[in-house]
Amino acid sequence: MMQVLVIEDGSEYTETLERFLTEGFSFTRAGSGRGALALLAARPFDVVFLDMRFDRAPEGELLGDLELVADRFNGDPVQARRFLEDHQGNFILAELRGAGLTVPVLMSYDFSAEPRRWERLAERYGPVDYLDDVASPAEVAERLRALASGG
Amino acid sequence: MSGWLLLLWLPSASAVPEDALNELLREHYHTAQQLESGERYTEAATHYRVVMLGDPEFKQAVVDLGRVLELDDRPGAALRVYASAPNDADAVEALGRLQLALGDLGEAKRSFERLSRLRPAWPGWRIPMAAATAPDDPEEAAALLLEYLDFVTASIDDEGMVDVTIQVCGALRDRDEVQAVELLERLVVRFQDDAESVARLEALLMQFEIDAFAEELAQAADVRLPPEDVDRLRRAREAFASGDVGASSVLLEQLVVDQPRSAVAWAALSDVRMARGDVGGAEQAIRSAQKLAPLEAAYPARLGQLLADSYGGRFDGEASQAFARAVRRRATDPELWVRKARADRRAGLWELSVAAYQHALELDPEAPWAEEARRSIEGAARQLPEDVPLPSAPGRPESVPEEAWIAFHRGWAWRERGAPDQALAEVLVARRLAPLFVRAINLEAAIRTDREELGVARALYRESLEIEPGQPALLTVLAELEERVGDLERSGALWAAAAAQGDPRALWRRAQAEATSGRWPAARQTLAAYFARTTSDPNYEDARALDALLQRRIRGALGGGLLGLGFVVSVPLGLWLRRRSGVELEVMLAASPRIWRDVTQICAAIRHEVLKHHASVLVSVADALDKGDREPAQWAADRLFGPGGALERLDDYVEELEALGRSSGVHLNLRFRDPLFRSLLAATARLQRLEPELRRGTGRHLAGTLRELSGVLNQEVYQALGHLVSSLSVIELDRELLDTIWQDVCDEPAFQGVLLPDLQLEPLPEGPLLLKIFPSDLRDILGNLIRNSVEACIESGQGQIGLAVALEEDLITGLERVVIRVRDTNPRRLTTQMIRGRYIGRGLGLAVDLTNRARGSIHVEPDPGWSKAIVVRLPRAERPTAEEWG
Repeated sequence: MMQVLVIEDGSEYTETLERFLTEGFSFTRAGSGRGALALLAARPFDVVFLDMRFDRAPEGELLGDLELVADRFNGDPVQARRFLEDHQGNFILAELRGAGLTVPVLMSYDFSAEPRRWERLAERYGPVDYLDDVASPAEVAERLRALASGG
Repeated sequence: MSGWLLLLWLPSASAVPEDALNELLREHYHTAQQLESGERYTEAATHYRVVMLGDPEFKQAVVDLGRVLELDDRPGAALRVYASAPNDADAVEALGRLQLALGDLGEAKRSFERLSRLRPAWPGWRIPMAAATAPDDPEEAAALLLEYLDFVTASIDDEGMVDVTIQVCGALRDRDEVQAVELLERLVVRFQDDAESVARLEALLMQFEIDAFAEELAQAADVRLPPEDVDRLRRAREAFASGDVGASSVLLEQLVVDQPRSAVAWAALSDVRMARGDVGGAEQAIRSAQKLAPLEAAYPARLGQLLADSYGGRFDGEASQAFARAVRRRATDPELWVRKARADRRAGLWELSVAAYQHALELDPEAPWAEEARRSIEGAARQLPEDVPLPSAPGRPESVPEEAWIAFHRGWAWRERGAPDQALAEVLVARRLAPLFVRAINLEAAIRTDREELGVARALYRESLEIEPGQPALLTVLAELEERVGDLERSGALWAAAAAQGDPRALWRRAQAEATSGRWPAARQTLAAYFARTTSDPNYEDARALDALLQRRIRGALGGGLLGLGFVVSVPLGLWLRRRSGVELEVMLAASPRIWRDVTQICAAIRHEVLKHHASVLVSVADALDKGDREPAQWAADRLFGPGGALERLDDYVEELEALGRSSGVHLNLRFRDPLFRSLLAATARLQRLEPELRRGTGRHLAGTLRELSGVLNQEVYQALGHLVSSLSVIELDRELLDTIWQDVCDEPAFQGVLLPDLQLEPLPEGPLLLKIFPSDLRDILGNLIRNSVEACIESGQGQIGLAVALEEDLITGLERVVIRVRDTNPRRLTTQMIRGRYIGRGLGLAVDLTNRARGSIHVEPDPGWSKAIVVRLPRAERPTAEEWG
């Protein structure tokens, strides 16, 4: 049974994957980067499924330094918070790797239009892969298996 | 009573002829018939039973056996026999009738319901069903009988109806006498040639009337007014006649308080209330008068007229009843009969109306309304006109085999009946037998389109056009399909080709396009070609109106000069066209760049919330259905159709876009005019129609349709929305753009005749520099920064301005930022805080706002060799992407 940690601020991915991938997978949901770090510290997971946007997470749950980010936006905290939300998946991934966790990560975000960005991230934060976020559960299953087996 | 309708349904009764029996069974059958005619029912039953058991397919034996068992006084056995053939209509009918006779009404109703399904085209089941229904629900029974009378205009199997009607009306009387009387009166007309039935029905009607009348008389006691009240009544009437309705009303309202049992006072008050617009009060007053003086014909007549005139036809049936009461009181008044006939006609009581007109004509054949009466009577008795012999239809092409020809027409007929699966099966037969038969190809393509198999349909139409290119109408059909799937380029070419071949729809479309873009003479020429080819196109009237408008405007413009042309013509013409058709999103965007950002956010939200999280599961639901697992379908239905579900959110977003259109003065027609949203909304509408099937988890083609819709929503629409969002929010920064911005600033009137500083432009980094920003915003940001530096240089009389572009990487997100440095050498002091705090004017505040909007930043930084640099950082897009707008 493959143990998958789904990190998302809602529950859509977990519900969908649990409903359609009933054989060979066990899904656990973490609602934030902090929650995910706690779970990963407590027990091993074969692979992480990571959403990119976290626009429903409480502010205290978002990873990333709001003040530092605000400087990028002429000091505007609203823009900064939105940036943290929009890129929270990246912040979580950076935090996992910073904590020495090498569990493979499947990101739900379409990087196909940004190949250079993806190259940089994969080099820095591997093992990591991504899937278009309209991917069907069957495609998700295929990628999870590939990632977990080191493919 | 058994089988009293049986032989009237011959097609079913003779479904299996006795000739089909073998010799031995046939002999038994004839023996049984002879014994039955000799009233030896017990023995006849034995022989019928042998036949029934010997040939179970010969259902006539079931009915025969049941009948002789009934005659032999063995109803229980008969019931069992009839019940053994639940799919034979004759047996079910006989069963129902026996159950009815035995008083088992619930079972009888179930049998007649079954009968209605076994003989869907036979209306006669309603009569015994009404008999079974009458004791518990006489209104429903009466409705069944009235439905039967509406349904069957000629007497084909009315047997038993009089008995049933009398039974029903007896039960109905206490609940709805009006309906009972209507039913009886219609039956009197229906059975007018059957004296015995008419006598029975009229006797019941008379009984009703006598009873009702006796009751009314018991209530009635019209009082004569004393002289002083007669005087009040006279004064009130005089006031009313002189137009003083108020004074008349005061007098009469008081009079009916003082003399509440005076019919004349109530009748007069009814007129006054009517004149004041108080229809309800008028009706109440005339009903009071009628109650107090039931022998008077005028009051029901006035009530009937009030009901007919005041309620828009809602109470025409009641009006008809009121007139019926009036003519019973004063049967020699032809005017009353005519008014009754009109009310009957309006109430759809054709038979009563004709009878009333006939009565009126008998009383006064020369009256002014005689022509109306005759016309109505003739009109009610329409005769089927003779067929005009027409030349025979074009025959079958030689290359098409007979069988293919027939299969093609069968397919056509199935499609017309709304049965695409059967239609497709037939047309595929035709196509197999005649592969080059273009009409069959076209029909298959049309069926595929009905089934939303657009890819197949498009391929078929193309195949058809290759075989026979001269089909302009087909070009337009294909063009619309290409539009639906978002291939606008191909669609445009097809419309053009169709117009070149003279297709009216394509010409109309071209004319509209020419008119909106201001090419009015060309539009008129196109319209001339359109008019030469059609008078029956659905757009013909609109085309005429557009042509007239163009003609007037061109004439007016030529008179008013070229300057007036654009103003006079374009505004009303644009409004005229917009009212008819609206515009697509692209037009709205071109008209209102200020709403790009809002449109971008809405489209990105649709992409993220509607498509990403919901439509992506459709394929998985389809896979589960294929495995017989229905639960995911029901789960998906909740997410899609439940409160706050994906489709509800989509509706909200579409409304927001339309509201943006209105705020920009544009009539946005996403549903019909916009290729992207038309595909999206057509697919979601189709999804919506699947809701019952999804909730059940069953449905023909459900899994296939879900996959198909997934293809549209998750691939075509998702990508198209992404491209749209990106195209609105991404611009390429290159040397040419920077030169243009610089030049635009230098050309501003404030700087004319002034010696401007030089611009030093550093080489740009390699590769395309796509920025995630609205193009006009970037121009404004850089323009304002450059203008500010130019002004400072002019003020200080010294200085140089430089522009440099570099790239920076965000270590966490991997995103690159484009760093644009606007440098100068003038001594004006400027800091980051000053910019962010808006301590300065000169457009820098706007530059900060716009940079914020693009999720960028502005800093003032030192720059070696320059006095300072204002540094703008903006996110770079590698290729157009819509993700970050989600």
